[in-house]
Amino acid sequence: MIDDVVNRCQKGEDQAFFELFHIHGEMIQKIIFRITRNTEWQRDIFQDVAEQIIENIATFRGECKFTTWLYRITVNSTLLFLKRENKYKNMIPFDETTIPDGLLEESELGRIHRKKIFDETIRALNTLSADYKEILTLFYCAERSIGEISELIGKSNGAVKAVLWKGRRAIIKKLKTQGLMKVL
Amino acid sequence: MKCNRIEKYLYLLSDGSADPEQEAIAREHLRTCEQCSQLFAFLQLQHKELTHAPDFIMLSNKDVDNIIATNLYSQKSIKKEIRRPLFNMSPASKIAFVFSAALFFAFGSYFVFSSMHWNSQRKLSPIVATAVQKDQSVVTAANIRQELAPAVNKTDTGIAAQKIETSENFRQKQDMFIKHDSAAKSQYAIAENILLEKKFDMAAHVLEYYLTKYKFNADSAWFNLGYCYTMMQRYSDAVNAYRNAATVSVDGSLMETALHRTNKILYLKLAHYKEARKGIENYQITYPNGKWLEEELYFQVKVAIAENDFSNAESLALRYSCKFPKNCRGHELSAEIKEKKMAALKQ
Repeated sequence: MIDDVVNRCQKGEDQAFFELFHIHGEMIQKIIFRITRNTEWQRDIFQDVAEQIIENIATFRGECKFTTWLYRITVNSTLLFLKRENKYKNMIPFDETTIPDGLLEESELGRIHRKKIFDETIRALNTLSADYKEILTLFYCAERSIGEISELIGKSNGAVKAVLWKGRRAIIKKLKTQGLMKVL
Repeated sequence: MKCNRIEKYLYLLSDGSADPEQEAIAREHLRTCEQCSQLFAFLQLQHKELTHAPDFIMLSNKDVDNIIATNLYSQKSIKKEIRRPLFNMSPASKIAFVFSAALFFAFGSYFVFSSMHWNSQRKLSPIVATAVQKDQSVVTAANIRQELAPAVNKTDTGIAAQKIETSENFRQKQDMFIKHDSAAKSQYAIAENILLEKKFDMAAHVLEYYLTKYKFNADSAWFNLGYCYTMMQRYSDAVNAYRNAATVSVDGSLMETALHRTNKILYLKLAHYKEARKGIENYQITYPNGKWLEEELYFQVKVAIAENDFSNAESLALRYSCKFPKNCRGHELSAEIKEKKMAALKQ
């Protein structure tokens, strides 16, 4: 199932690439933003993704849906970008004092802690194996349902569920070793 | 039930993918076990944090186009360098290729030995040919840019890059790109080529994008941006761009021209006489023998007239005609001052 646009891209038509990114650009940007939560890096990562897609589109042979392929490339290059740039270096250090009662409220401290939890979760996610990484990001960051993911990846619903909870358990384990769970 | 067994249900429950049966068991357990309820609270928080996304601003379509154009251009140039067609050929075509190459070589060497000039003048256009004749090993970037101008003149923006590629001298340009920072260079080249096409709004957009992204060549980028704005009749933006070019610039002549153009726009288009006067005075101090001095002095007189400061205008006009006695504009100026003075007196 190769679209007409993809076909033309593979033949090397420049105009087709512009069309392709007009169709899928929004989705790609949404995924990037969901993973990074940062508009500063959005352009850089989008550039990386575009580079990857243009470079590798010839290798796409229609074994999976094109959108699946796009998801994979987007997720992988975003995570790679975060890893490579070591963006988490300058994040707010996590002190092990107890989180105040109003954690779930919109207080400033609560917001910082929640951001920290998000950052650490993404970082832990980045260390998992490729399968886990992909399915977890699809579920949480790209907001795909389990049914959709199983269709995209070509696995049964049960398998996807298993990957989801096992992956999360692995993440929680990592967070525990870092002391992030101590407060709870 | 033990906590280990419940753990899985907790994960599923927090994702909202647990069966009703599993949910009932988990909820039952949570009532009694404090440790698990703590874990569950954290999981819920984490899930909320992961799935909740604040609003974000999409890149505009033009930005997206720019990014893709840059990528297409830089990647193609690098790929072509790497690709080796000879190795991918079938054996028959390989033989044909070798045979034709041998023939070409034989004839080619004959022509080369018989007339050295023929080859260079036939293949290369005058600009490059003269460079070759002067034994310049490296053809300058400016020459190549001139070479490319006609090739790119009639093309669309998106295809500009492609056309450059097919152009005769692309290889030389390509080598230069690979040596330096290819992305910045190619982006700038695209902008310049769009400028050559005289699509000023598009060029301005590309240059704006370039300036947010790269610092390489920033002065000429600002300068060109100023030119684009002038052509688009966005004069106040043009003034800002030229001022930026002047502050960023390392190149003296570019800075001088940028300052001159700022003054010119201020006087001719925006009629901000006060600023223009200050600018001109500055210019004269920094470049007492500048190449735009004649025009600057002329403008100074004009500005003084526009401000109805006739005594100052007269002395400036005198200075102008002393400095440029051969220029007829001096007489014109003094005549104009007289006229205006008379009109003012009548009123």
